[in-house]
Amino acid sequence: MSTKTADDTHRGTVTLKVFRYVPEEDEDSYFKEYSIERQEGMTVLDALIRIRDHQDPTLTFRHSCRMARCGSDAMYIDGRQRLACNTQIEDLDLSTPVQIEPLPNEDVERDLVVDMDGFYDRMESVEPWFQPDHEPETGDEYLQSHENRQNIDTVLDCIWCGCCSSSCNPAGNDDDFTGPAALAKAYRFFKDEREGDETRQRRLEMLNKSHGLWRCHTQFNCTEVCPKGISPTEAIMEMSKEAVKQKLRFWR
Amino acid sequence: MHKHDVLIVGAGGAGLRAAVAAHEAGADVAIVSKLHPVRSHTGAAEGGINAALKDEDDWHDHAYDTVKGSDYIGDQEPINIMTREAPNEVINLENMGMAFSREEDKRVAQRPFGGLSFPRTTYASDKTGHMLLHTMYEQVLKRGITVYDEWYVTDLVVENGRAHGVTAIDLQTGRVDSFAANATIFATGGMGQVYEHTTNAVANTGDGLSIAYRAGVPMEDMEFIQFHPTTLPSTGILITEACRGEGGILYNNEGERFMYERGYAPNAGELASRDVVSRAELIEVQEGRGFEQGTVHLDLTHFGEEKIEERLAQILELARDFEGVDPVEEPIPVKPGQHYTMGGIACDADGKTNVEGFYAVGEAACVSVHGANRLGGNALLELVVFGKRAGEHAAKASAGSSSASVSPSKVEVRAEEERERIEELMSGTGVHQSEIREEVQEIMTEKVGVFRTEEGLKEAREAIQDAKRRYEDVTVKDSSSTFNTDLTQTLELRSILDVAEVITESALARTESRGAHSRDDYTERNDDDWLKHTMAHYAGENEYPRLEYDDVIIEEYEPKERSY
Ligand SMILES: Cc1cc2nc3c(=O)[nH]c(=O)nc-3n(C[C@H](O)[C@H](O)[C@H](O)COP(=O)(O)OP(=O)(O)OC[C@H]3O[C@@H](n4cnc5c(N)ncnc54)[C@H](O)[C@@H]3O)c2cc1C
Ligand code: SF4
Ligand code: SF4
Ligand code: FES
Repeated sequence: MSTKTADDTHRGTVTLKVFRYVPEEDEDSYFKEYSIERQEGMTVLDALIRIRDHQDPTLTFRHSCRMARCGSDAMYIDGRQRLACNTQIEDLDLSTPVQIEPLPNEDVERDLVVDMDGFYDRMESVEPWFQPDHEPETGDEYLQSHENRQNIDTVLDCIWCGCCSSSCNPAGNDDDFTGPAALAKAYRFFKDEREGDETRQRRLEMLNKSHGLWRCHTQFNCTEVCPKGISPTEAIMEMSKEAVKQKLRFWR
Repeated sequence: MHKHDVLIVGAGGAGLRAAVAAHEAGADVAIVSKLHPVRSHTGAAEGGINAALKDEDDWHDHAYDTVKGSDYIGDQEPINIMTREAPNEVINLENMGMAFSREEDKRVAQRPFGGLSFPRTTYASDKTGHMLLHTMYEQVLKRGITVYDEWYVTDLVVENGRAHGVTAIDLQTGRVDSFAANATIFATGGMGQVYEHTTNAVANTGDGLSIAYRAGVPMEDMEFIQFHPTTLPSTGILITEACRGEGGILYNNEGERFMYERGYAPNAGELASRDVVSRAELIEVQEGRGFEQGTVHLDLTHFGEEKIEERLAQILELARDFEGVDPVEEPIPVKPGQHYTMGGIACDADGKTNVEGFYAVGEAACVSVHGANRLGGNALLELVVFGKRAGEHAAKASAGSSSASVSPSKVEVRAEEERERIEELMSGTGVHQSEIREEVQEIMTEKVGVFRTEEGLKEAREAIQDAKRRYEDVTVKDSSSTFNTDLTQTLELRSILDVAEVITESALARTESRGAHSRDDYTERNDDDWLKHTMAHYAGENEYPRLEYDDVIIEEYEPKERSY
């Protein structure tokens, strides 16, 4: 890879085929095509912003940080869940228009904006907060080994974008399934050595239910699409194994 | 109509910390935010949070570094409070489960940072803000605090010097509603979108600043805008100072380590404060020693892949995905970009403003701990220290305020006015917001950037006045009431215009160079005339801001010349 040079900024045009739906105006959703000039380093989000600013101010999508950190611009781009902001246009197949849709599995509120409430509810269902087993002396930190901290490093990076649950068939079919993101979140605490055995046990029992760990088919869709390189699948497998080991498993 | 004891606008680190504190103090608390909390820009903070935690360190040294960093215009009383309370607040975050990086002895890790005399920046890889934001939100969930997410606050209702609450639009439905509260806290974050090249999120449009300003609260020290020396040239995405903290080197196109070799900072080199490094880079480029796109090179290749992956994992990702550069193999091109607002809503160390029942905290506020230049790692610290204090204070004040003094009907009346304003915006045929916005962002970057002159500032002032006139005809082109981003952007543009005007006016008046405010025509710091805070007051729709000045609080550290 090399540093960009100024003379190759113009790359012709690119066509985006964008899902549109405005509830109070449209009976059905439809696709609308936009062509824009492509530039060196342009991301899908850059293209959408440009379209909104210069061609069609009614096009609606969420975004904020534009650095793959806030998780708000997850979309279905050319048949895959991705963050628009870290998807380079030139990495896509440009022989056909780039197809942009809202995340599958979620209700569409409008255009590319989906209802995330179900996702948030699932997140909350795993009691996603730290429950240590003892109090340190006032003013002291809880000691944690470097290794333990490293072990949870990847799952800590979750930005709640919803790509994973959107790619997960069981999550799509079963509103009660805890789902990959929330299970990965549970794992973050489950693996933290500062939460004691009792809490760990309770967390496991909470997940050991028909709509919890056991609904996962371990097919790695979630892992494949996660823009942060998290593997909810492996987290789920590890917790399931632990449940089996403890003969906790009551469902299949 | 909603009613709460304490209403917090904004759900970044500052708003969430304030909410937890107010809740712990027994208040009925609610948060209103235009973004879902975990989407707030605090999540983007990379390098770390400062606290004198170690036995060998001392909060007095942290205080001194901060005063010096501020170019002596930070108020020493709140700086002492912030640095003294830092260890407790950082440990408190740890106790809430924030996943700091660890030393071999299992304690939280610390690293060196620009302008600090001791490696006291506590960090979580290079994702410190992400960990902080998520930890705070977990605590909000744990306590069951009410969150109205994706509600855009349009106005603060102030009558007879007292705040009664806010009006807001539900983005899902377009409905304007009223929120009455005994105490209202603004934690609405920064305003980077005033500039074209910025590290800030698209949502950082300075709404809270503009709303408070129009409601009669002065904007303090808005001329001090921080430009971060290492941002990616094509997007403005931040390459954390931790790169230099860990030993990253800046080179010009002659292969010189210019911070040392050209004498910009003979002692601190790359770790001089941000204003010093940003200016050095631009001078290198202006004198022909830069690279393409006006950059210099930040070299990390001597670290090796493993160290970069462990401590700077996000940088690896950002440089690769957004600039197509692999920092393991080659230097990263960088240039200065707008990064932080040292000024903001004038308030004291409890977040109190000149309006009863109205508080400010976080980047939107100016407690005046950063003065003319903020040190890296002090912003996250400000959020938690002053977030807690503002939350506690607002809860106490709210409990003490007789409900007779707050009038929900006043908020209801204002909501009706806001409905009318929005209807009007939706029904015209005039200009579209993006046209005006792009022009203002450009002129601010060119004329009110790292280097400033009277001529340039006056040009910017003209352009902003012109933009404001055109804004009178602005029209929302999208007529839907569901998630109408065209409408929110149009409302945000008014914030951008107000803030741009305040920055420019404050900068034009300050005829000296201090910290991040650097004038080509007044190159020296001038303590005789300018050791004072700018207070910009709203003077009416077609008037320039009215400027007044306040004393700087000086305690143990007398101003002296800064060198790094
Ligand atoms: C890329 C980057 C890296 C940084 N790294 C560091 C670092 O390493 N260390 C450090 O100390 N500092 C760092 N900073 C600075 C620091 O992150 C910010 O100053 C701080 O996070 C701001 O927090 P906040 O809570 O004040 O605002 P934010 O986190 O920006 O939150 C603002 C909130 O206000 C809400 N809001 C805004 N307007 C409205 C409205 N009209 N109605 C309703 N809600 C509204 C938003 O929805 C959001 O929830 C960094 C900043 C950036 C941009
Ligand atoms: S691995 Fe499990 S959680 Fe992930 S997508 Fe498949 S079924 Fe869903
Ligand atoms: S696990 Fe990955 S895909 Fe799922 S919400 Fe978190 S970051 Fe997104
Ligand atoms: S805009 Fe924040 S993740 Fe893409």
